[in-house]
Amino acid sequence: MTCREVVHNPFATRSTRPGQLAWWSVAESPAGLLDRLDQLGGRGVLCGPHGSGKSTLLWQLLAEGRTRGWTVRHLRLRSRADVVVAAAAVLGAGDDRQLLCIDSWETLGWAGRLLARLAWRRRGRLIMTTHHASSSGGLPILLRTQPTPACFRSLVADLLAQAPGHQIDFEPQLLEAIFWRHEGNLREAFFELYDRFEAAVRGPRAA
Amino acid sequence: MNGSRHASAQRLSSPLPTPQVTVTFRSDGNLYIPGERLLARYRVEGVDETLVTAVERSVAWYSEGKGEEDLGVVFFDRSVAGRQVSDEQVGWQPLTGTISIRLPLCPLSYEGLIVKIRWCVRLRLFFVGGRDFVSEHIFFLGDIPVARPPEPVAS
Repeated sequence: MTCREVVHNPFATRSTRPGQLAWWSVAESPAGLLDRLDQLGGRGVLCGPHGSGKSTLLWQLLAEGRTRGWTVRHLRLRSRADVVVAAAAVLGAGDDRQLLCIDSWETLGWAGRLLARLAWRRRGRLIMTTHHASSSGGLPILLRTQPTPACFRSLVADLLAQAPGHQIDFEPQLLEAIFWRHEGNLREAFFELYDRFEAAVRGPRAA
Repeated sequence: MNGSRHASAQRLSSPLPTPQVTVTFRSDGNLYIPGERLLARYRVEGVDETLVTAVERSVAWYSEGKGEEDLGVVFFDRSVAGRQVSDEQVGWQPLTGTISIRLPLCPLSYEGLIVKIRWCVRLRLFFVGGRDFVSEHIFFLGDIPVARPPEPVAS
């Protein structure tokens, strides 16, 4: 048999990465959060555990900022070595119509806490994501992200709709168990569903 | 298998046109030997030609799985209304065309469990107002068998 059959796994990173998934909260819309950001003085922190949707929300806020005609910039920090890039962005010249979004601020450690205190000096808006509020240098919390089993089920339904060729369904009880097994980490929960999807689609044909 | 998406749908306030994109490969089963020439014809229907401001055509591979996505582009061009970019384009014909390139030797298409490697012809249409639409059409480079889950070990 050749590889001429294509199975699109809807739980692959390609479909679940930030920018692909919809933001799950109805109560906290991206537009409402940007309004609140201005009320907080243009600085805000998205705080939440791994896989809780911080990066996904950040992408939504970037898109919302664009629709408002702002100049948007996105930085993803990967290690402490990125402190130079982060410092240049935070301490560099900004303007009132600029939105700077920095993902994974906690990777900077103590340098990040120091830099966050200096962030008040810049013009323009700044949003950062972090796992712990303690690494945000006292900047105000814009939102604490904490998904629920209901939002997980809703996202799974949306993703499965992208694979209409395969009649695969996951029982609500199973999804709830997966959600709690990964302690609300949606990224890890999607990885488990990726494996389950592969087994369901390919397993029966293995015999 | 084909796929399409409105790449910027979340930014839109008005309904998008819904183009139907057909890509025909000149190869049996959309299967190509490494190094072979890819010849694909495409046709876009269901959209007003005058609303299209630009067309991007590409041939690319990407990985799909649980890790970060890898991507390689072996062919890309962009044609804009009123401006000829590609030598083969005589006039502005955004809704039909041909892509012909020599394919590389690797990476080969692979349908694995943990990771997959897909080759595709990708069309991206840009419309008046900044809206866009992406359509992907899978083909296969090489003939690697599909991976299967291991059989349970009998105890």
